[in-house]
Amino acid sequence: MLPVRNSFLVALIVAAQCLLVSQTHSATEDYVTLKTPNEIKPFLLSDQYNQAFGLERLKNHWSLVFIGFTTCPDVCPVTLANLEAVRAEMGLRLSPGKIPRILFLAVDPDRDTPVLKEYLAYFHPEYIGLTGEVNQIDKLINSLNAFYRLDKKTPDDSDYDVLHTAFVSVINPEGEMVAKLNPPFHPHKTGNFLIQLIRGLKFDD
Amino acid sequence: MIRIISLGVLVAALLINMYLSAGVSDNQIQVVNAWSPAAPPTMAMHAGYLSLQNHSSETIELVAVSSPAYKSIEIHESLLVDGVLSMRMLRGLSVEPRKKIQFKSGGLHLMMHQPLAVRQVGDSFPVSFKLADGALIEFLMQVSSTGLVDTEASSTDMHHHHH
Repeated sequence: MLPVRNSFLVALIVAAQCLLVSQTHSATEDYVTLKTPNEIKPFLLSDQYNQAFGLERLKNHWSLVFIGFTTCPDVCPVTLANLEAVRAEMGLRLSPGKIPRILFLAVDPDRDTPVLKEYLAYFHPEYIGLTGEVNQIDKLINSLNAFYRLDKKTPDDSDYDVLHTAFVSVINPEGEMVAKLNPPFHPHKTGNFLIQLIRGLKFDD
Repeated sequence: MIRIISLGVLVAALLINMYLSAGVSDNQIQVVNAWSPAAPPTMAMHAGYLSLQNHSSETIELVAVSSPAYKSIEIHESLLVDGVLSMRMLRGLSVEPRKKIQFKSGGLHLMMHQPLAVRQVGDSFPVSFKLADGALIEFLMQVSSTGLVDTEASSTDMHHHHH
C-alpha cells in the first residue's frame, strides 16, 4: 500500500511542479509594461563620439536600451538589425520625433571603446553607443534592473564571453524606464506594442 | 590581388562542391541555407548559420569544423536562461537518424574566429564538418546582410510549436 501511496504523492508533487513551471513561463511575456515607472539614477557615460552622455541626454526622446558587447557574434548583431526593423515598422505610423532611438549599452569597455564608433556605423549611423567607466556602466545597469558579467576564466583571459540580460528597456522622454521588451523582438508585434505605449494606450496583443 | 585570390577560392570551392555532388551521389547528410551575417570590419569573430539534415539511418557525430577562410571554427550555443544570454562551446554534436538541426541566431551556431580575408556581402567560402569516422561534409557559406531572415524563421518555428 505504501509504495502506491508514495507514487501517488510523487505524481502529485510532479504535477504541482509542472503547474508552477508553466506559471513562471507564462509570466515571462514578450512585452511588460512596468506598473510604476522606474526612475533612472544619474550616470555619466560617453557616446561613440566620445561626447558625455548622462541622464539629461536620455530626456526628451523615447529610447530603447539594449545591453551587449561588440565582440558578440551571434545575438547582438541580429538584435540590432531587428530593432532597426522595429523602427522602420513604426516609421509608417508615428511622427519621426516619437520614434525611439536605439541605445547600445556596451558593457565590455576594454574591448568595446576602441571599436564602438565603427561597429555602430556599420548597423545604422543614428545608433547611439554608450560605454565608459565600469562603475558608471553599473549605475545605469542597476537603474534598468539589468545584469551582466565578464566571464573571464583567468585574469588575463582575452577571449571571454559576456553574460548579459537579453531584454530591451524602454525609456520615456522623462527619463524613466516604463517597459521591458523580451526576445525575439518580432518587428511587427514589437512595433505595435511600442506605438500603443507611446500613444498612451494600453497594449492588447 | 585580393579579388583574384577570392575568385580563386570561389572557383576552388565550386570544384570541391562539384566533386562532392558527383562523388557522393547518395549524399545522406545535407547542408542547406548556410549563411553568415555581414558584420562590421571590427569583428574578428563571425557567426555561421545553416540547416543540417541527416537523411541516413544512423546517428552522425560532428567532431570538428574548419574553413580555409578562418583560422578556427567552433560549434557554439547561445543560451537564454532566466533572461540572461550566455554562450557555451560544444565539443561535438550528434545528429540522430532523419533529424534536422538548425543553426540559427540565439541557438546553435558556428563561431568562426579570425577571418583570413575581408568579407563582402555576397561572398561565399567553403566550410567543412568532420564526422567521427573521418568523413568530411563540405558546403558553401554565403555572407548575407543581417536581416529579417532569422526573425521570420523563428516566428515560423514558434508557430509550429502551437500546433
